[in-house]
Formats: sequence, structure tokens, C-alpha cells
Amino acid sequence: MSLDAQNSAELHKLCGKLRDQEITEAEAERLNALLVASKDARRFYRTFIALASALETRSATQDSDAEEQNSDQYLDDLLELLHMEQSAQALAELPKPAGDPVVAEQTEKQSLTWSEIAGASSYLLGQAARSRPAMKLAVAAALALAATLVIVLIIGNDEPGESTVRQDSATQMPGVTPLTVVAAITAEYEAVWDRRPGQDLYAGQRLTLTQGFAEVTTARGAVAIIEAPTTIELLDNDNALRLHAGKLVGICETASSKGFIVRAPHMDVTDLGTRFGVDADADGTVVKVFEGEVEVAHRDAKDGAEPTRLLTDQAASASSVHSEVTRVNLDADRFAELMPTLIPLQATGQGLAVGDIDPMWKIVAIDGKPLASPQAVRVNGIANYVLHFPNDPASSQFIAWPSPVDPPEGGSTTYTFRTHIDIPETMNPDGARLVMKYMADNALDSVVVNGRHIDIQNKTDMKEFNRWARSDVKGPFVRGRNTIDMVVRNQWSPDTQFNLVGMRLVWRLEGWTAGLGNLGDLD
Amino acid sequence: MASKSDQTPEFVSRIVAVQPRLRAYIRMMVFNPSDVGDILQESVAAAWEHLDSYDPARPFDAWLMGIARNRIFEYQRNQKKHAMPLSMDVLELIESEADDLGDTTTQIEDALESCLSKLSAEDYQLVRTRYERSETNREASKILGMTESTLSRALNRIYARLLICIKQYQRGPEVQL
Repeated sequence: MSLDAQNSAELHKLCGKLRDQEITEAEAERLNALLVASKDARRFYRTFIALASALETRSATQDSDAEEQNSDQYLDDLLELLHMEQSAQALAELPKPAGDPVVAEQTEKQSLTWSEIAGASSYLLGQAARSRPAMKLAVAAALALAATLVIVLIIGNDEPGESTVRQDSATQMPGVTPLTVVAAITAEYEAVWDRRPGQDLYAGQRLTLTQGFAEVTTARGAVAIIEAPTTIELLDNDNALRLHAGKLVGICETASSKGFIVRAPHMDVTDLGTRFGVDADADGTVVKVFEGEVEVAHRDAKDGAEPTRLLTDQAASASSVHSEVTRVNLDADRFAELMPTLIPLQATGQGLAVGDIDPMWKIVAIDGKPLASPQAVRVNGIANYVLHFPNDPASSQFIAWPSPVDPPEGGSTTYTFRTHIDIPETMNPDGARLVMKYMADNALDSVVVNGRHIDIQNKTDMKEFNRWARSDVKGPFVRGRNTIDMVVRNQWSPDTQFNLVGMRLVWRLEGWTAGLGNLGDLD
Repeated sequence: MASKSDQTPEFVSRIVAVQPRLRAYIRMMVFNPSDVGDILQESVAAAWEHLDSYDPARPFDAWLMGIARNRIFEYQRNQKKHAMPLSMDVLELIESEADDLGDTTTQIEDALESCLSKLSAEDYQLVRTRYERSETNREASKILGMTESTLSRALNRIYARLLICIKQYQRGPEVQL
């Protein structure tokens, strides 16, 4: 999401509160939401804080003989107004930034141009100067617009605004508007579409699933699971879609996916970090929160009407009969077929002390050759070594070949860490997946599920061994016991001071209830 | 391999060069400025202590940031929740996109003095009082004889001007405020 004028001004103000350590809990919550929702907001935050840092460290080079300031509030206000007037005049005179000057909200919001913002700032200040009673309001509005202008300047000209949407290069032909990829089909089960889509989904694309189930993931990582018959439309926004009719479960578990919007008949649903279900037809929409929080608003709500917040287990409906959202009771079973089961798995080293053997794991092979005796692995104290993310016994820790000793094989090769997981009878193994975040020294090369190598998206060939990488792994899972291998690639040289062969893993298993609608693997 | 004492001049010069970026990096995730200095010092000390493990084939800045990153997140983990205005998720997101921070701090370094000189006399005095004579807004507001909220609003306005000026400075040094 790009920043609109109102959000830009608010962001500027909240960054100031944070700088001054005066931010309230509610303001902090709002700042978090703005930063999660927009890459532009995060870029502005970094710039703002970098300026604060530069000022904080700037050494005194001249005598500090500050003039006494008049504390009279009226004079303060007047001074402020004068400063703003100068500023707005200067802003209006600044050359247009190179490239597209539009504050690009990718959804349906109206855009503001550079000249509109600068002009409006000047206009409001002019109004303020002429009308004393309106001064405060006008100054506030002008400040807000000036803040927007600052943000446009900081973020608006060097790079395209958004990060996650991409233009399909294959469609970039003269005279042809390029298609914007905003989502992808990430899983299907017995899916039949009215017109078979490709895996990438484009802004403006309308799809009807006539049979089966499908999972659509937005460019920002929000997951929408839909059940036939359902019609959706992709919007010019990398974290939203329109639900014309049908049933959908939204899952937003990553920071970047927070703020996912479902536009449904008579109701807009905005995720605030949650799992929720939406069931819609032309007459109206119902929404149920399974976990977390959403914000819902009636499409015909009066101007200024506050959206309704729904918490876990709460539900609401909207229709053409009323112009307000109505709270209702709704059974979660209505979405049972769409709700995946989550099984948390033991994280590496969780609850153990440094030096303890992690009984869940063993190294069973080096360079692909099975060891005669599998090697026990221990929670590694060297993981508090300067280059590794510090261990956290409560959540996860590095487990490793008992180091710091050079492994017997020496050299650079792979080490296979093995564990077992159990898939219950109630879960259909088709479409089950491991959802993992991990670090490895030096890299997690692949995952092997019941003997089949599965390539992973993020191999974590890290230099500092201190960043989480994330991957989902689907494979030939079976009910009951499954053997999972993590193939860690290590690099070693005679100059290496301490060679850690280790990994750190936080993970869970996701799948659908057996016998109901189960998502299958795309393979 | 060169002894540590032989490496001292180069290490110091590298630290001096990267210091603004390193401090900004820490500052964007640590909200109490006095803690920023502590973490910066600890990171530099750890880098010196473990200098032998630095691979010269890799960028020194990235290596040092990696060390600082660990210190920051360890510090955050020990903070009480109410002392953490931004969530860990958001901090990780901000940090993961911080590749632009080096360019940003360089731009600010290049332009700051010029942009400060273009402020009005009152605003320039306010900045100096806040950042050179005071540790906090409270101290500065007493010196300036204004309320903290007025000072805070004034700083926001000055930041807006400076940010515009810094951005414009890249296109040509002559910017009028």
C-alpha cells in the first residue's frame, strides 16, 4: 500500500512522537500498523530516524548562545504560522521531482499530485493568515499536507513505490498496459475453474472456481483459501481481493500480510493479523473471526462512521437492508472444510541448556553417505558467538555437531540432520506442509521428506548466520510416522577458527481434516 | 597473519567511516538514545575482540552490522513490552529492508550542514539547543522557555524542512528554504 495524504501526515507525527519518546500505547499501535502496511512508510521511518541520529551525534562547532525564547503561546503560534508560510511558499516553488509525481495508492483511492499537495498547502496557509479563528485548523491541515510532501520527496521519485507487485515483462509491449502480478495460486484440490488461470494472477482478473478448493496467496503473503462455488477478482493492490460470491478463509500470519483486505458485497473486511472466514452472496456478507482481530465496514456506511472491530469468535453481517454492520452469532463450522489444522512441532533446542543433547535430532549422513552410528547433536554454546543470533532457550537454539571441533570429514560438505514427525489419522497428508523458519551454518540446502529431496525457496547461504529464512515444504507425507531430513551445507577451511555445523529451526505442520475438502499439492 | 596491533589503524579508520551508518542502524531499532550509544560501543568492542574471525573477502560494514544486529535483538528481548513501541515483527521487517540505510546516511552527512545553515536563525538555534545543549526535550524546552509539546511540534516542522532540503541537495546543492 502506498501512503495517502492522511496517513503520510500521521506517519510524520508518529515518528516525531517516537523520536521524542512521547508515544502512547495507542499511537504506537497505529505506527506499527502503518509500518506493516507500507514499504514506503518503512523507508520514510528509516530516513527520519537516520536524520535524528545524525542530529544527535552532531558535535558542537559553534558557541551555543541560544536566544531567550518568548514563552507566550500566542507568539509561539504566530511564529509557527510564519515559518509554515515560508515553508509552503518554498515547497510550492520547488521543481517537480523526476518521474511520476503521483502519490500512488494502488487501490481505488484518488491520487494526489505534487502540485496539488504544494498548492493545497499554500492555499490553506493563505486561508489561515486571513482568518484568525480558523488559524489553528488551517495550520494543522497545512502541516499535514507539508508532511505528505516531505514523504513524497523522500520516497516518491527514485524507485517505483511498491515492492511486492511486479510488472509482467512479457506483457510490456509498446501500447500495451503491462499486467501487474498481485497474487498466485499456491495450491489446488480437485479445482475446476470457469477459465483455467495460470499460476500468476493479475490485477483485474476475475475467476470463478466451480469445483473443489484453491489457495490464493497475495504478493504480500496473505493466504485466501476458497471453496467452490466462489468468484473472486484481483484488485490493483498486492494485498487485497474482491469476493463477489462464495466462501473464503483468510490467513495472515506474517507481518507483511497484515492489512489484507477482502472487499465483499456490502462489506469490507480488513485483517489486523488473524484468521477469519467470509461467506458472501449478492444479498450480503457474513464474517467470522477464528483468531485475532479484523475490522469490518459497511460499504454504504455514512461518512465518518467508525469501522467495527471483531475479535476472536465474534461475527458480523452486512446487507442492503441496513447501512451498518450488524453483530451476529455464527458457527465456525460453516468454514470447517476450509480451516487447516496446525500442529506445532518442537523447535530445535527448545527448553534445553547449552551442551544438552537434543533428543529429537541426529546427524545421520555426511556428504550423503550414511554414518555407521548416527551422531547426537547438542545445543551449541558457540551460537552465542558474535556472528550467530543469540540462542533463546525458551523458543529455539542452534543445535550442532559437538563443536567447536572440526568435523571428522573436514572440508566443505553436507550434514544430514534427521528427525521424525507424526501425522495424525485425522489429517489428510495430501496437501500437508511444513511451515518453517530457520538459520543454518552455512546453509540449509534441501529438505528430504520420506526419502524425496524437496528443493526449498530460501537456502539461507548466510554470512552472519543470524537471519531467519522462511520456506514452506510440501512432500510425500503419509499418515503416521514421517522421516524428515534437513541437509545442511557447511563450509570449512584450515583457517577457520571455529567451525559450527548447525542449524536452528522453528516449524509446524499444516494440513486439512481428513475426509473433507483437502487441498492437494500442485504437483 | 597480521597481529591485532598491526590492524588497529585500519580497524579504527573503518569504524570511523561506518559509525554514522551503524548508529542510525541501531537507532532505528532502539528508542532510547542513551542505550544506542551503549549498543554501539558493545558492538565495536565485540568486533575488535573477534576481529580474527572477519573474512576480508566480505564487506566489513555488513559484518559489523551483523554483530550489532545480534546485540540489538538481545537487548530488545530483555526489554519490557511497554518499552517497545514497535513490535519485533515490525523491527525485523524494517531491518530486512535497510539496504538503503548506507546511502541515506551518506546523503544526510553530505547535506546536513548546508541544510542547517539554511534554517532560520530561530530554528537553527532551536536545533542547537536541543541537540548540543540538552539530552532531552524536557531539558531543551526549559532552556528555550517553551512547552515540550511546542518544542516537539517545532522539531517536526524543522525535520520536514531538513528532509526536503537533504533530498533536494542530491539534485543540486543550491536549495532555498
